[in-house]
Amino acid sequence: MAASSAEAQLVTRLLQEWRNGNNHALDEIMPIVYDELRRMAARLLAAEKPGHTLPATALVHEAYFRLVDADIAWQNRAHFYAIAARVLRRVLVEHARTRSRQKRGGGAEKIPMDEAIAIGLEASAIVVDLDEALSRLALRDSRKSDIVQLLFFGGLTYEETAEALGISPATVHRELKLAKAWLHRELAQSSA
Amino acid sequence: MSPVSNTLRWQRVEELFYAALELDPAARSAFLDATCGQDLVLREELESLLRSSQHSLNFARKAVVEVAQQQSNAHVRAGERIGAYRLMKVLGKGGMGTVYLAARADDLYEQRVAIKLMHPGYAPAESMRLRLGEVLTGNGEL
Repeated sequence: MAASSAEAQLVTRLLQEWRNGNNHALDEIMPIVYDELRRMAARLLAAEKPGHTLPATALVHEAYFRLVDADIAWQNRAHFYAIAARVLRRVLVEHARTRSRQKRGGGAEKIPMDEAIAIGLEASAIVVDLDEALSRLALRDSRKSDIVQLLFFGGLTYEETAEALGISPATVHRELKLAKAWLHRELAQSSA
Repeated sequence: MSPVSNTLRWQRVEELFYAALELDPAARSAFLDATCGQDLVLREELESLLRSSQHSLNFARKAVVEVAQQQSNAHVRAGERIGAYRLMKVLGKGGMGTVYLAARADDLYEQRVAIKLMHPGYAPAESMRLRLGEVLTGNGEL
């Protein structure tokens, strides 16, 4: 990750102490967790417009409280990123689902993708479809699904994604090609 | 198909997909002839994936960013101050609003309350949301 290895080790140690029931470790790690989530969410929001970042406070808080409330057997920093990306994904997909339902009203009817884009239905519907396609991909090849989850929902860079999964950046690039092709095919089918 | 043969099959798809991607598009058909042989299902799988690989998945990534922006705009944020109270965390959500645990922000007295804020759809303007926010109890318990 971007942080020094000393900090990475500190985070890993605190996560493990917390897991072993040391609540003092929790006090120490929560500000770090919060900062990491804020960094991830900010990068996620800035992905389309670098330099122009909306405050992602609502997203960060939502993800933060879910992480704190969840009973997670933390292993290390990489594990934190994986869980955090999953939590961010869940928060965003729930938001998209609610919005999608509101917009579509009761009688949900599939419409072509370009038409959906034109009338502004697109984003939430696409995110819901992407989430479902990612879950199907995970059944077949969980690592490829994890790669997309870390990049798309976790806001991580290729290098961070590689580190979080313990693989090389070259492998991330290569596997992402197949993951994207597979997902594109699924999304094209679900919007047809 | 058994899980094992499914896995083997996927590995084969992967291996051939990466190899075919390296080739000039004009050479791919001959490559698939040679590698897939009579296995038309495998060939169709590879052809459809190679076709899809020509399209960008950027629209999906943009959609995630857009939803993240919507999500950030749609909620009153924990940490924000509402009158004399600072919102601390979400206690629960209903169809019409979200209930937050809040504490006095002015340190006048120790008091935790639950504050219900209506969803933006029910009260678009910030002032409206504030007016609809109601203190439920005085001890932080619902």
